[in-house]
Amino acid sequence: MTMLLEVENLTKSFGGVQAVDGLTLAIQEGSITGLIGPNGSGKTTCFNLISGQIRPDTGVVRFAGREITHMRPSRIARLGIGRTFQIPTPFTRMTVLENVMIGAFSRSRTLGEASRLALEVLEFTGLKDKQDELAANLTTADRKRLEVARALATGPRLLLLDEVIAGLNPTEVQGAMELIRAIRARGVTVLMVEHVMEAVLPLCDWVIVLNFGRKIAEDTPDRIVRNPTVIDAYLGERFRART
Amino acid sequence: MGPFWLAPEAFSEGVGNLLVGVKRISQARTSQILGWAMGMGLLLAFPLFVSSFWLRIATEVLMWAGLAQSWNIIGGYTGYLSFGHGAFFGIGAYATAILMVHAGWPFWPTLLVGAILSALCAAAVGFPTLRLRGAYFAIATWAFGEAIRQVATVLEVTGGAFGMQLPPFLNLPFFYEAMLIATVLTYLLAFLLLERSMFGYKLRAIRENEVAAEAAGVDTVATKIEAFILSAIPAAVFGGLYAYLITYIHPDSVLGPAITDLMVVMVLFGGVGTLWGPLVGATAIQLVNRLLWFLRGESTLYLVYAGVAICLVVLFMPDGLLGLVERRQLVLRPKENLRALLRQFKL
Repeated sequence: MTMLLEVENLTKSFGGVQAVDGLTLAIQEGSITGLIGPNGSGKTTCFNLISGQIRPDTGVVRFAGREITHMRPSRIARLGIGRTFQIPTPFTRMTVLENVMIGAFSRSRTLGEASRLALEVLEFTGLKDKQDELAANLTTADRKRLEVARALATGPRLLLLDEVIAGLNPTEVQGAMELIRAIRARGVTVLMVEHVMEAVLPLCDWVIVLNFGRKIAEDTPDRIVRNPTVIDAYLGERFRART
Repeated sequence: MGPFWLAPEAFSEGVGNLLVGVKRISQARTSQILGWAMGMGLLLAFPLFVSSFWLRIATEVLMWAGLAQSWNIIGGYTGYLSFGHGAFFGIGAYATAILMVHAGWPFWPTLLVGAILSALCAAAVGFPTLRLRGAYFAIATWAFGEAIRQVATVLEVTGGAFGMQLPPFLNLPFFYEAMLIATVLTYLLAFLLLERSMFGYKLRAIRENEVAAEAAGVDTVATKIEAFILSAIPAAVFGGLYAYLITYIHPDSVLGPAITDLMVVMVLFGGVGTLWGPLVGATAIQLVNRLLWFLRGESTLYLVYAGVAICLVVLFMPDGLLGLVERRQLVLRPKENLRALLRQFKL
């Protein structure tokens, strides 16, 4: 088992709030791992710490055996960790193609090369028809897709997906799940924060549960839903009935 | 952050783009080349057809068009308000004046020294402040501009508040041609580096959403510093040209706040973050400025006009005159326009 990402004893507090508290986790290469937990349990902070948007108070993040703890986000992105944001962050006055090209610059030497790579990613993510639209004019579902496409264009080995399914209608959920499976099939390891259990459970090989910034459980999805601690802290009574 | 001073990817890409540009020109259709060559020829031959009154005005319009474009690189494409851009103009002006008067240099090499000095100042100011966002940069550049003005006022070598007299060279066609070449080069540089290169796309991504750009692998700090340095260089060159043209400079004339203000107004009025907006804005403002001067004599009336222009842009013309021509109507949503403008400048 090779671990692509290792997080050791990561801590971050904002003022008096311990957002992430001594978190240790490891992500296996080639897996789809779910990161779940109640609101405010530190999932997004955890993403921000891994991808370098914020710096941890203590702890170490290692990616492919290399320490990346204090690197800038752009450096981490170019090393192979792509990420999306919970609230989509498109470059609104640029076209869909241009948005994705920005990601592709990480592995291009010319504009033409970036444009070819971006087109390939748009084809893969099903946004090719909309390549010339301004990102501002996209629907929520397409904005989330664009978020994924831009991250994919950087050529990541690990992709961090922050709630790309929440807020989609049932058809769109199916589409997003297919996309995530296809991403993994390309050899990209996926770590996803998600509230929609109907998506997390069938997609993920492994699920990590956070509460108050701490890891309270990790296991396969079918065992996680029967874990009493997880039910108490997050999943709630509707899952109690399944056990 | 990569050591941008050792591996300035923007500039190496820029050189590559210049080569591509030359190649494209060689591949362009004969009619196109003829069209551009004729246009350029007409511009170059302009002094043959007009009186010195109009030549003077054309020279000023060209200078302001170039200055506005220099501000547009950092302010328009990147979305960072530089409120001290006039300082680069002044540094260029004083570099030319000091080297010609005190060191007896010929004119041309002084432009190079001014450009290098300005680039170094931009690096020194940008390095700490471009790590921050929005308003901090605006305040820091404003303070930098004021500091340079105070320094020019107290130093002996700059002639203090009295300023400096340059060796007079009363040859208006020469200055027209020099301004024309400098302006054309500035716009060519902007076209190749901002419209046709990865660098330009990165700047726009930073303007649209800096956090997302960084997460997508754009080294935002290095890119912003490169943009700021790039924007400082033409401003200094125009400063040097202006000093030699006007033959007498003092802190208020080349380092006064009005210079920066006009650059900002011209860019916003023409169309911020576009290639031709600064040219359109500079022409519109400077022509009316001179018309008022013709009608009313030396007065500050044009400032009122510039103020009205900026109000129009902020309230009803978010994309300036270029946007107005494209849309053929005003955007009557002042609150939203204002909000969008503030967002664009990360305020």
